[in-house]
Amino acid sequence: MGIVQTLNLVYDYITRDEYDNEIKIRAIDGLDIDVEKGQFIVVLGRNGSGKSSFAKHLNALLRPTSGTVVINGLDTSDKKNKWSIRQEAGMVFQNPDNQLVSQIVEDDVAFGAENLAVPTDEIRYRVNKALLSVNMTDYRMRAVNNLSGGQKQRVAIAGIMAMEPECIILDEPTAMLDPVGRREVIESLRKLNLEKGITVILITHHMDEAINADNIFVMDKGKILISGKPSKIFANIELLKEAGLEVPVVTELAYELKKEGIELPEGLIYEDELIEEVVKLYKR
Amino acid sequence: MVLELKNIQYKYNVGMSSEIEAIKDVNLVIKSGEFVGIIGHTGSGKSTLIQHFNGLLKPTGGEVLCDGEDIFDKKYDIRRHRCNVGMVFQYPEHQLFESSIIEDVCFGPLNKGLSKDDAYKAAKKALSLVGITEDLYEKSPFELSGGQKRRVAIAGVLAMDPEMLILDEPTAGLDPVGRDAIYKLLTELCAEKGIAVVVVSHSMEDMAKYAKRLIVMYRGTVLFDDVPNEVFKHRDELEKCGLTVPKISYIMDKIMQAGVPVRTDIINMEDAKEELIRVLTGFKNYGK
Amino acid sequence: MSNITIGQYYNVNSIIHKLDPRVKLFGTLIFIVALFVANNSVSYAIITFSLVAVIIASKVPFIRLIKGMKQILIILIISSLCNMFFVKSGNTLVHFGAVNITSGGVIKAAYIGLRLIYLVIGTSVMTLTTKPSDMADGLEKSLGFLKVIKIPVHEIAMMMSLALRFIPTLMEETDKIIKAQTARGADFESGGLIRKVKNYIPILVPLFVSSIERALELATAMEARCYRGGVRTKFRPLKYNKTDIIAYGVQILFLAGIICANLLS
Repeated sequence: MGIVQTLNLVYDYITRDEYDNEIKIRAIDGLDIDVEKGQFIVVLGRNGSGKSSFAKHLNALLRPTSGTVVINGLDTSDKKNKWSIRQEAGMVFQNPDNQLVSQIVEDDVAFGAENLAVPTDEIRYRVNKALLSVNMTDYRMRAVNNLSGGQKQRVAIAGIMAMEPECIILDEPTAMLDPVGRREVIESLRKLNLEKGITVILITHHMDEAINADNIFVMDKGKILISGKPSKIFANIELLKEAGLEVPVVTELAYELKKEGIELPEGLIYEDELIEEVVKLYKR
Repeated sequence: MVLELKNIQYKYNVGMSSEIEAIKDVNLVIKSGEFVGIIGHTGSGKSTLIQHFNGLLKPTGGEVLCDGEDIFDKKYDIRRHRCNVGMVFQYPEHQLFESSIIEDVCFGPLNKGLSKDDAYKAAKKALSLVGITEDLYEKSPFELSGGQKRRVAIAGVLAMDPEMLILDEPTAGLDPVGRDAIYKLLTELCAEKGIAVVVVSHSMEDMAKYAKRLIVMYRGTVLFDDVPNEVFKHRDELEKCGLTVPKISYIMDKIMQAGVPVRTDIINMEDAKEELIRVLTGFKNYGK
Repeated sequence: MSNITIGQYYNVNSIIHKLDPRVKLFGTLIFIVALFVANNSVSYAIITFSLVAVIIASKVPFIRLIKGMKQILIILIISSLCNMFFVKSGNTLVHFGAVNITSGGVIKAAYIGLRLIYLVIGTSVMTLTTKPSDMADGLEKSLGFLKVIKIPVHEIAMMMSLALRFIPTLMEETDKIIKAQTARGADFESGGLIRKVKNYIPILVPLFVSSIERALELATAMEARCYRGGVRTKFRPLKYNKTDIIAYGVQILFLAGIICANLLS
């Protein structure tokens, strides 16, 4: 069994219409996901596909209407597991401004560890390590308000790292960032995954953040539309477009060329592969 | 309508130790019917620059002329000018405040001095342009989805019937479907109504695809001002400013370096496809 | 607008800046008590001497200290005048119709004026040398005993520091909304009072909505980071060092001095 597992997860939320009648809306509709420790997972889906509700289940911020969510052996529907789950599976949100609590960078990074009642000396050690892991050591005494969006998100990631989780879940962390900020955040995540073996679950609608994932889940209308390795996912261009997503530039170009009768293999996603194939065709 | 910026200079915190010159001697002319993209690294001065177009910021040097008249002249009606040059800020949905969508969209036209009936008509027209259907008019704007809210906010500006529309990252935070809807709308406004559209964006792909003219801001000055094809030829300079060129250009460049003689001034998918087909199959199959 | 400083913290490195916030809070309290019990020139002399010594040690320019005085100038003048006109003791200095100013009145007025001025300067020294966040920490720790009577001291301190964190963000937001509505032709100047208040609705409603959204998101983020109220350790625990102990000693000595001086008269 993997570190994150959901079994037939269903989540309904209730809203009211103009006549004050209760309406049930199914945000998640029978989700089965199994994530192994150390993987880099990307969940793709358009706005309203249920991907954010899914993320909140992994952190016990939401509880399933039916089905189960198990994080590192802990069932999220059991209330007494709540705090251990949040320590094991840290969460970073979309808006960098609305998740930092302290005025000073290092105080903010310490916040989660303080809440876990970690001894002071240990917090200091963890804060240093966490800041280093996202390359923010030079900014430790800076005011949070004067940082760029990408820097703020890296501080938020460091704050989770200081809680020493097994897994980190990010709900569209790059949606509000400029290209430089996006690159900084994705590079930090990749580093944490490769060097520290942290399991990363990245929720996004930016395709280019997905091409190096170990596994991709594409969500639409609360369900998994398709899942698998990037090469498999991006071979299904029509399906992705139907789900309101786009495909990486390389894949789209290959797809367009194939449509015109150029012989290229299925599911090209890396630049080098495409160039190699084009060179082969040209030399022929 | 012709909007002209003449030797614009803008300083923040004038006279203080923290004085910063955000805009240095910028000259620009923007005319009706143009679709202009503005790109630049965060802090390059692009957001400060566009706030001069409708007089939200008064330049510390130089002048802003609308059809030859100085908009900061005491006799000039600057509130009218602001209705003529519509401005859509980043995350414009944060400015919605009325209890119903239709009332919110009426806010601009009413400020412009229209009667209630005329304002309602203008609002209806703007909402239909952005694709908000009549059954939603009486709903609270806060009940809508993110993409819908954004379109209502844009309608709030369009309802003032501007001749020029300025948008600061209008697609930030939207998914591909929402983004395409916004650009489709802007392209139509520009082509069919002759509205000048000015878009600030971080996406080189979007700019390559939609802009007819591209302005590159760097440290408060205009570094390039040309058609996108020409601007993106300056790859090294753009990279030095913390910018990039569209991904497809990088790919074409690498293909060329790998020994396949393709053109490298290509900035969109269509052209890339045609060029590769041309090179790989020879002219005979071109266009098949 | 983003580089605005919160409170009036004056950033230099001095012995007073380095003191534990609890010491400074206690010192300010003692100082206020001393001001209100002081009743003769000797005790005022001790207070003046101590205040000047602290100011010099704090390295805060004198001009910054008297800046706070502007706001209380009117209160200062009114209370001094009241004392001058209504206290009747000692010799009559001026007699003009119903107005009778006595030497006792003038002395009393001078003391009251001085007391107010010292009060403002004394508390300013505290706020100028202590970061707002440290102040919140200091208050939380020194008022911890109030938890016994169910006052949520930790929560109040947390709210204080969150408010400080979000003030610049909300200022930026306000600025942005004002610009956005101005661009839609809004007019904030014209009209009578009611009209003017109405003009601000397009700013206040979005600001209110976004503040609530922020608050909700922040609460979720804090919960996700295992925040559950008081049971937590501190990254920067307040710890007394030698200087703090000495400072407490000096403060006690100061109070003893004032009491002795008062007994003299």
